[in-house]
Amino acid sequence: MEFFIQNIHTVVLFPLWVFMLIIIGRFFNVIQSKKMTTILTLISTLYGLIFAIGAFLFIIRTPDYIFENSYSFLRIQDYVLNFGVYVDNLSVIMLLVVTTISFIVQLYSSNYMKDDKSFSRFFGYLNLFNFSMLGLVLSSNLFQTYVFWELVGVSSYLLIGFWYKKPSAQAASKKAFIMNRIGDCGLLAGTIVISYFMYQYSSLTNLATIPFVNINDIANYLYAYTTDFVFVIICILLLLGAFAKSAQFPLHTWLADAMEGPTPVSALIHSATMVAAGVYLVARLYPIFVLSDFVMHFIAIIGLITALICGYFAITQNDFKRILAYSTNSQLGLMFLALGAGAYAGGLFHLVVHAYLKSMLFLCSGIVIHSLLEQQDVRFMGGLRKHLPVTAICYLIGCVSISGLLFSGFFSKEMILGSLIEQKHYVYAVGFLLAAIMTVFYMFRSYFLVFEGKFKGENAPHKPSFVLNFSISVLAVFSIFIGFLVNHSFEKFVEIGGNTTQTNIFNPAFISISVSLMGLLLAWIFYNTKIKPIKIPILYQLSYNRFYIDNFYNFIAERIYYIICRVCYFVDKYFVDGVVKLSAFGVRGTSWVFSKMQTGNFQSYLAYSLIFLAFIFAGLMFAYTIIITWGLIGSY
Amino acid sequence: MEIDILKTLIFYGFAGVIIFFALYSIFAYRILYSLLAAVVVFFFTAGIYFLLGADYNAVIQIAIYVIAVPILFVLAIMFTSDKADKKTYLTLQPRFYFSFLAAGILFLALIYLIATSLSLDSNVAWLTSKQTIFINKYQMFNSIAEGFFSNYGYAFVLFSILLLVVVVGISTLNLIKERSDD
Amino acid sequence: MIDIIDLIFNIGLYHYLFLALILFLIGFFGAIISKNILKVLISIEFMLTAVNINFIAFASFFDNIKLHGFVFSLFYIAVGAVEIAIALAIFYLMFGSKQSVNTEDYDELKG
Repeated sequence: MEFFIQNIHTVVLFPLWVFMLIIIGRFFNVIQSKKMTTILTLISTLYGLIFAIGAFLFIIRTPDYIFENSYSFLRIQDYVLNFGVYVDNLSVIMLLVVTTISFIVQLYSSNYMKDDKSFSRFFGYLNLFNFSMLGLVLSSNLFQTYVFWELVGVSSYLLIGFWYKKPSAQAASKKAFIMNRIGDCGLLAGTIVISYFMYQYSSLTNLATIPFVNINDIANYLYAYTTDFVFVIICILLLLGAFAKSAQFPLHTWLADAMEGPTPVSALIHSATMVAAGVYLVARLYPIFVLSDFVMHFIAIIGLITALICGYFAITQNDFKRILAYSTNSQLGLMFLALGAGAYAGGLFHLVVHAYLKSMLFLCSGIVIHSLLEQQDVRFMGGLRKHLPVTAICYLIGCVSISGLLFSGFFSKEMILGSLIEQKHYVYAVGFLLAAIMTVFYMFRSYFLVFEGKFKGENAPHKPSFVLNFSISVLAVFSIFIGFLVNHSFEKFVEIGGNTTQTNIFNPAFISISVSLMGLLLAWIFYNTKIKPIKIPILYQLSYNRFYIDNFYNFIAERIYYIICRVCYFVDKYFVDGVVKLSAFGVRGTSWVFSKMQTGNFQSYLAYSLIFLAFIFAGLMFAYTIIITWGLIGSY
Repeated sequence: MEIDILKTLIFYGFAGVIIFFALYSIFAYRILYSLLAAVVVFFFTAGIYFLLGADYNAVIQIAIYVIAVPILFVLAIMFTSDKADKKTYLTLQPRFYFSFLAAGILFLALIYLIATSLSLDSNVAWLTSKQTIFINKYQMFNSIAEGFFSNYGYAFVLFSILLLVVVVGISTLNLIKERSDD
Repeated sequence: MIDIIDLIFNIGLYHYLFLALILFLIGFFGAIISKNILKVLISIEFMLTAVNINFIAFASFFDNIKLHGFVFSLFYIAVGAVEIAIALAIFYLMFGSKQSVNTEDYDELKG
């Protein structure tokens, strides 16, 4: 079993190899067969899955096991940057989640994308993403995390803008990447500042690269060396990275537009893995954040705000994938809320559960969209339960679960709510319940609008193939049983610092279930019966236009930032380029002069020699007089 | 101090003639005129050689430069001159002015050099005095013969080989030219 | 005052050197500005004679016994004549194809 952990770096390198193979094969027109691409990709992910299971089984048996293996690749005197793997409980959980969801989504997309003409490119990008995400999860220090963080952002950019001929896809991928970059700045700044403090002040210079093995010591040292204000600033910088990646409040607008990519992309990246990277970062750096109350409240409040406003937006959206996108956003907010409020195990459990749920929901939506021939508007769908039974059942399971009524979602939500109430964060609990109501409402709204009611199309939608149905069924099974399998043991498994309090999940269960049932009733009334839903004009407008935040960002980017960019362009074109052109012009001018000197007329060459001679003689005479006068003066 | 007026006069006369005719030679319109002026210059430098006591050199100079070289030149001019000598007068390109300037600078530099060394040297009379008298009037011939056949013996032999090569070369070139003309 | 008279009227080494210098510069100047090739060759001859004057002047003033300067100037005269002969031969060959004595027509090395 230990074999799996010793060689876990191969899990990261295998998808990279497949990616290079696909890209080079396409470049040299060697590999064009879809079957080969699919098989290679699936094998690499399966390989990762096997290793993840092996590692998991090993780690369960040996508690508090940490494996770290690093190679130093950059050495500046005593500042040593390492590159390696770090395996502990959290890594193994994330590894399992990432590999299983990757595998299922790749299986799904082998069928879903089979009519697309850029099939191999898609699978190449999927492999790249796989590599980056696995590297992120297994990285051993904060610098390496940053490297893979960027790589994940790049893969997301490539995958969102997969159909790059569409202008909306180009714009969406640019927006996603730029917002991610804003976060990356914060992450890098925070990393460098922490590294600086570790290097300058502490005598342990191996902490300078912030390896996760010593994260507790780093946190303590950092808290000791910095004032409160500086500490909070550092934490906020690091959090900026997490917020951008997981689409929290100010930087949340890219996630909804990221639905321009194909549905498997949404399922893989924007529901389960990449957006979970932010939560993973917070979980890794939790010992640092825990030391300051302000930072914890900051995380929780931002998470709460995100959860509430994104839930609010999701109520009125008409695009099927956009509803699911805002749902993801909202659930991420809940995860941050949980982490910030101290419900560490609850937040992580919700992450795992949500990953499976959301990817399943996205894959179902993909099937629906595919069978209705790329129709994405919910108002034109309906009555699909008879035509797509498997999809309907899986979607129903997903809705029920995410609303916290049954199955795994129930357990995760109760874990969070229980910890919130235990730690007496009543405001957060109320906010959580509010978000839960909205979740129930919009999820069931989408279910009723899509699967119930009358079928509005002319011909029957064509049935999905076996592979697609198979994938979502597997995920449905996971989402049902994960909740039962991991209950209290999860808390023990992930808790840091031995803080093993078992939250009692059944007390607040009554409150939350009743609240959710209320929301379900409301959705049923509005969308499953003949009663028309109430539309309050102002609230509807605000929700539908998403508080005009998008328009605000557009305004800033176009008006204000554009002017700055024009100024920079002007400076670059005339000053910076001008210097370069000046030197080139200087060289060209000298060569022009010299070429003019080659007249081919020997008399001019004679003239040059005469001039040269004159100069030499003048120089000699000058030197002679100087020597003589100095000699004269010297002799006196 | 004794001033040898005759010598002074002769020197200045010869020097003036030389300079005047040299200038005429380069500023003449027709080549033949410049050639004749050059001949005059060579003739009067032979006179300067006489002043310096180098009789033999003067005679050789006359023999070669006044007689042989003009013959060569006249042959060349005869075969290659074109009617309009106006076209091949002086050029007024930039090198004219630059070289004039450079020549002037050189001249002034050298004069300055000489003047400063003159002012430095206390015993100027040593350099501006009359030239020393020869021991006997055959001494020059003795020295020249001695130089030719003992000091510069190798040079003498090599030079004769050089002349041979030149003659052979010129005739070969003419043969080639004749063959390519056919 | 007396020095100046002394300088002017007592012919010494420097006077010959001046003469040679002026003749040399004239020859150089003429070589540069003449458009006619033959005039250039004549100017080169001027340079040669100026050098000769230099040699003979130095030999006459300093070296009274061995008179190396005289001997060398004899060689030099001969060399100058040979040089003119070769130059005219080459010029004659080139004239065959160009039919022009204008130096500006001989510009194949231009560029």
